[in-house]
Amino acid sequence: MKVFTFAHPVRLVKSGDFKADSIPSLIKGLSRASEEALFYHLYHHYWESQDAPQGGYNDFALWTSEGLGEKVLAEKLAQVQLAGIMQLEPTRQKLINQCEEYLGGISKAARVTEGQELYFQEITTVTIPTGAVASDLPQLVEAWKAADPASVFLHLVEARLKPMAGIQELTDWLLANGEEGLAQEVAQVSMYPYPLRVMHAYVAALLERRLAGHDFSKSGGLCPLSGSSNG
Amino acid sequence: MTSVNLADYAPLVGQATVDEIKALGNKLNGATIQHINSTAVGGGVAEILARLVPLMGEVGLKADWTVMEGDAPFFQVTKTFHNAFHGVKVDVTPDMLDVYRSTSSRNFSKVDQNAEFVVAHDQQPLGLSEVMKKGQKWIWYCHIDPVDVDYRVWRFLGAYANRCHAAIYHLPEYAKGLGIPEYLLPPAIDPLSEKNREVTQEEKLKVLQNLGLVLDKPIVLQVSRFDRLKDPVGVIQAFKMVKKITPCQLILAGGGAADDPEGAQVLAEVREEAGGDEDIHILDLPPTANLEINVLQRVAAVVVQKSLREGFGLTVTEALWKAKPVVAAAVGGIKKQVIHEQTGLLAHSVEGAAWNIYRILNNPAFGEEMGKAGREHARRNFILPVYLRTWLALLNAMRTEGNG
Repeated sequence: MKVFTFAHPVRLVKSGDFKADSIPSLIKGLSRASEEALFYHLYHHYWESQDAPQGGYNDFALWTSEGLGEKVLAEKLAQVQLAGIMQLEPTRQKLINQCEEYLGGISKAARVTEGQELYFQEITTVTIPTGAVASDLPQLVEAWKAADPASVFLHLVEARLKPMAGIQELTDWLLANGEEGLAQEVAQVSMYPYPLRVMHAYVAALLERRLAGHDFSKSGGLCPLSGSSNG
Repeated sequence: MTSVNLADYAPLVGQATVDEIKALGNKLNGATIQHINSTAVGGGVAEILARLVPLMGEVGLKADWTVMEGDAPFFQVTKTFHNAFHGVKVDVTPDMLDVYRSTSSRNFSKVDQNAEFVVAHDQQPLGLSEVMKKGQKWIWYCHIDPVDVDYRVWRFLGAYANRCHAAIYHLPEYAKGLGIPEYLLPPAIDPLSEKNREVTQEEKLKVLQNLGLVLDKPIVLQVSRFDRLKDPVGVIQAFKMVKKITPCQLILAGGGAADDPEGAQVLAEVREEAGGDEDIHILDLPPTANLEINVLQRVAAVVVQKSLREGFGLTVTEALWKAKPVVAAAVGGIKKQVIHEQTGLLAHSVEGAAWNIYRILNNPAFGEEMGKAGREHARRNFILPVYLRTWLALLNAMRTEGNG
């Protein structure tokens, strides 16, 4: 089996060099934003507070609600992640589509006052090996349970959405080690609206269940956090 | 200043964070970094460099702090530039630019040509970037709000900033779009400094006695220099509204009035607004009154920061760190420090400030809960070891990405 090397992330925030003050400019910003910017605005609560954002609203939804006062569009922008941890490009397109569709149905687009704009930001992640490694599933289960929340987020979410040199993504490792059913189950985990510790424990439970002999390819998972399958 | 080691911070941030800092330091293989600013004492930049540079050295960097030399005309020019950054209309003459250039030239020899990273703090040392050596990575760290900078001043200084390989600002709205990586790194407080360390009961009592204060009513406190942008008059107005319905006393603790003509004028306005109310205590403290500020923040029931404009309010971070409920204006970086209803309460008016002060005074458990969350927020994001970790990650990123 290929060794799984745990790492810890330290994140740097950079200016995204764009600010939105209305729905049309939000669309423009979404269209030109880097993946690092999309990732930041969709997920930064998880590494800043280890929790889901208030009300499950990503930054775009929150600003649309609180800044623009467009509550209906805000709800639509918040639900783009209901399907689970989606790749960034389809998420971008979904956000843009929601904005455009909404814009087509209203007569006048609101604009925020100066100082209330949404400033795009992006991240750069620097990683440090934690020293924990796993060569097989039992070792992985132990290391996963002992990992800190930041490492969990790195290997479960960040590495899946924006691959980084030398950083392994959990489902990839499971697939490479013949654990297709388990990998599929882990891949279906949804982030919103759960705190990171719940996600951590849930994936640990999936891993332990597999270790106990459960065949996920036949009978599905534990249920609550996965988008589509119930056990 | 007491000597502090990285290990001293482990009880505050955890051994894991200390280990991460060491690992990030190791990855830099003894890189040389030179910080350059224009003053050895006074001001937030000098305060943080005094702690940051030794810690960078402790984790394996060859870290150095150089203070550039300038005469009175140079500092008059840079003070004018400083005002221009804050949107004040200023006269910029060719002579002023010559003074800036010639002072920069006289300081060229101070730049360490062997340093891999050179950090120019604020605008005073930016001119030194003219002697940038090939392969060096220069970083401009802008510690002030540059949003309304006078265009003539920016045309002059922006050309120097553009030579750098990265810039750092406190807030995303400050980024100037230089076309280089523009990092966001808000300032931090040192939890082990005299202003923020734990204090004993005896120290508290002694300070209160020296200041002539009695804890017979809950304290509403604002710590800020006497500056209109800190809205001390607005704080008094809010306090007077609250006092009508709940007993409390107000302390406005500031400084800078003695050597600042405008500060003296603002102090006079504040005294007039206070109108002899014996529950309002106006303390004009010297800049060395760190223990006094520490104690005042710790005995306060509510800490207020009702600024009309603010970059990153270090006094807000200080209060959060001391687990105090904060009522602050929803401006600038304060919105990142105070998450409404979680780490404190945000207000947009005198009335809003009054209402939120009242809410906390009449529901101490609510204040305590926010205070606890506030301390955790500060611990995670705004204290020196976390700041050091981000700095080291930034240097690693610049090296890896080969910026420039």
